[in-house]
Amino acid sequence: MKNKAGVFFTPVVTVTGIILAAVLLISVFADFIAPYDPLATDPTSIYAAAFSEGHIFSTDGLGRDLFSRLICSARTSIFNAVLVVAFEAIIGVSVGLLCGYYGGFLDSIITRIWDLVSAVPPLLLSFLLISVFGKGMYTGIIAIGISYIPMTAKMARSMIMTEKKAVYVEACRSMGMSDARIIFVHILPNVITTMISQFTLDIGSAITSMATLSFLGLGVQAPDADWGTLLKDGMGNIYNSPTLLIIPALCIMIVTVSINLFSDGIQNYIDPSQRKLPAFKKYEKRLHNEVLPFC
Amino acid sequence: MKRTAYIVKRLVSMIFILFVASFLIFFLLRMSDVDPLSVMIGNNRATDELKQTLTERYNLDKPLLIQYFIWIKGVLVGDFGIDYIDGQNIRELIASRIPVTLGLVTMSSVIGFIIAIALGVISSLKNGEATDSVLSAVMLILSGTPSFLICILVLIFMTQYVPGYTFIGSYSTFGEFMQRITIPSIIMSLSFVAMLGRITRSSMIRQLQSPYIGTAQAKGLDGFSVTFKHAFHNAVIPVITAGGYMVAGAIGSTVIIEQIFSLPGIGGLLITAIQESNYPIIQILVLFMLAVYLVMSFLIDILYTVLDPRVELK
Repeated sequence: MKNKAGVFFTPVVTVTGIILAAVLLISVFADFIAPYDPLATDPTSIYAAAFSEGHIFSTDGLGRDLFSRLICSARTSIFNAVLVVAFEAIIGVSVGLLCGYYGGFLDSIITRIWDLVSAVPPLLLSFLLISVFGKGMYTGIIAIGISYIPMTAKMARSMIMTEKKAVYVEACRSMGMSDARIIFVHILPNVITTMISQFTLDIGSAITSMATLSFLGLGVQAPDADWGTLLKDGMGNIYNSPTLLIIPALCIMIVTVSINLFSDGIQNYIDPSQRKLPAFKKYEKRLHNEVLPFC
Repeated sequence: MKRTAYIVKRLVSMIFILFVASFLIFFLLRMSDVDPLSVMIGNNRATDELKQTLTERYNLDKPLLIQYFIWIKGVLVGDFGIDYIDGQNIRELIASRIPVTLGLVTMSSVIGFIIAIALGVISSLKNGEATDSVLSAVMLILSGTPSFLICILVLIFMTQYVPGYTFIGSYSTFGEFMQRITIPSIIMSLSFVAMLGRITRSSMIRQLQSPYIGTAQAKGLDGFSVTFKHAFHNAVIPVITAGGYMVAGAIGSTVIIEQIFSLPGIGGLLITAIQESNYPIIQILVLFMLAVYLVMSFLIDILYTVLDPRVELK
């Protein structure tokens, strides 16, 4: 697991990177790869066994091909996770940067608000927001995104606190640049690179969070499907055909573990000083985002 | 003296947060565009008399603020009201379902703490050896795997290959109760093991490398005293903090486990209530879970000042 200085493609990163790239490609080109229409029912082949003729991953109670459903819902799952992280990044980073840069009254108000928000466990917050705005995909995305924001904002804030004292910021200011330009054109690129591994990690936890909501029937609604929906359907068929549950579960597991290892690789590459240290900060973050909702 | 002031301050802020939260929960839920009357009436005929009785029974004709005060006054004296759909007493509903949830949380945290600390200590003592690499790799993979997926895989395994195991049944005796919750608790404890095991390991390694360990060894203390009386005493502090927060959050996260294993806990109650827009249940359960979380984190902070007197009281 050790990383030589400057080597990005360690064996772990290579393998997980290939897995992730393959998943991404398959989900993007799902329409061309899928052998069947994911919604097409077929009464003649109900609960076909896995690896049977024509259906590599078995079929469900309506004769829908699991492989086609899996790769088509991969797109929903991944796209939703990216949306969650984009939402988190755009709002979290900009709020954090503004608070850190200006400090003062605005800063203390927003810090109070996000202390309150982060006092609520993320899953509970999603439940509350879903019961207010009704269940559905977009509510789920926003609810999970909101629960991720405080941590991102805190991170961006603490980084800009040190960054704003740098000489180049003073240079920019002496050239008469506007605050907005200094923050978003000059400071942001320096701050964002260190946050990239965090965002990769968050994509992984967003996939599971969305899958959890859909599994509970509160996220993506039929006829759309993501991996959580497949799990929910599989749960209903556990006595008829366990493959329907095992395959999506393994699929999510492989993708999330790959994302975790891959983001570790990115972290090691970007910040070599952390290679051997116990990543306490990461524990804190994971405590908040990953572990608590899925104990 | 300083500590008393700190405790009082934390207590006051906790109560304040709970009140703000109860206010927000109540008003957010009423902002939704679902009409409570239509939830209550359901499939019954919506006669004017029925509407009238329901409106009076739930005080729907009063202003929202008054409704909030009626609710919060009830909550403070332990009267949680009646739900929209079946008209059941919510306190009894919760009381009948809480043992499963509490059982799950308690059992999984006890198992989790014991295994995690054991594995973490072993792996720190064998730092750099094969045992350590294997344990660390297992904990890394476990921490990356969402545990509800492990649940699903275990459930499939149990139902397919273990004859006689059912996860559905009655809870009348203690034995039956334990039988239902043991396996879900063990799976829930895996996430404790993954997380706390890694924290224990790195925190133990850090302590074992400190100069005072050298001193202890030079004094001629045996390995056990050095490891457990000296290093472990300091190393366990971050473990307790992180673990405490995990236990606090676990009461919310049992929702998923209960759903997968069809356990009759408060998680299932919450999910059903959300699906049916049964607001009286949602608001009290969300508030309750939040209160548990806040009280737990309050206790952890207090415990922390006891365990590590050097900590700065802010």
